[in-house]
Amino acid sequence: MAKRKRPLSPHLSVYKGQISSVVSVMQRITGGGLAVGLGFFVYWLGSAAYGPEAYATAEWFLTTWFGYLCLFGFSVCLYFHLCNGVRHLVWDIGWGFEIHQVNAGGIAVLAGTVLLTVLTWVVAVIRLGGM
Amino acid sequence: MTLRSALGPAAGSKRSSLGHARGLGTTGRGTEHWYWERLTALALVPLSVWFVVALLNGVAADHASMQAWLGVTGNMVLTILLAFFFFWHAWIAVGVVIEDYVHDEATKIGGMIALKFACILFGTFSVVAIIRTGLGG
Repeated sequence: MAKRKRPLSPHLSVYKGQISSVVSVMQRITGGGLAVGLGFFVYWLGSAAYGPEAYATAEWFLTTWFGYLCLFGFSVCLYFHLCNGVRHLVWDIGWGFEIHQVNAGGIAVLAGTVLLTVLTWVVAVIRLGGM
Repeated sequence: MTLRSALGPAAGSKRSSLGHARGLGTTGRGTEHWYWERLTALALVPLSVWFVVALLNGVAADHASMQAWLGVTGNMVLTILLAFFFFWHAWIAVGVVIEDYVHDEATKIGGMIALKFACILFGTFSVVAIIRTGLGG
C-alpha cells in the first residue's frame, strides 16, 4: 500500500520562532556538536597515550585554522549546552515556569554562552598565546 | 520485579487482569532515562568547567606537561570521570535524538545498537588512554 503523505504538526513552515523554541532546538543541535567533539576528545586522549610524536601530530592538527574553527565551535556548543542544561535542571526542581521567566532564562543562556566563549578565547590567547 | 507488579493487578492497579497478563501498560520505569540524563548532566557541570580551566592553564600544552598533569591521581580520576559521564550522557541523549528523528524501524534499531557499541568502545579507549598517559605510557 502506497503511503500517503499526511501533514505533520508542528507546521514548521508557518511556525513563528520564539526564544523558547529556538533555544530548545539549539539544545539538540549543540548536543550533536558535542557528540562530534567527543570524537576529537577521544582522538586527542589517544594520541597522548601513543606517545609524544602522535601527540604532536594531534596538536598540529588542532592548531591549523580548521582545528581552531572546530575547537571554537565545540566551545560554543559546550557553553550553550552547559548554560541551557543548568536551566533545565532549574526547571526540574520546579522553578521558573512563568512565561516571563522562561523568556528571561533563554536570553540569559544566550548571553552566558557569548560571555563564556569570549572569556575563554581571550584567556586562551593571553595565557597560551601563539595562535 | 517491582513491588507493584509482584502484588498483581488487584493491589490498586487500574489495569485489567488480561492487560496485566499480557504485560500491557506502563512498566513503572518510564522516568529512568530522564533521571540518569539529569544525573550525568549534574556531574558534567563541574567536571567540564574544571577541565576547561585546566586546559587554559596550559596542562596540555605539550606531551610532557600532559603526562605530568595526568600523573597526579586526582587529575587522573576526575578526567576519567569526565570521559565516563560524557559517554554515559551521550548514550542516553543521542539515543533520544535517534528515537525522535529516525522513523524507519530497522535503521532506528541499528542506530541504537551502533550508538551503544560506539559509546562502550570509545569510552573504554578514553579511560585506558588516560591511565596509560598518566602512568607514563
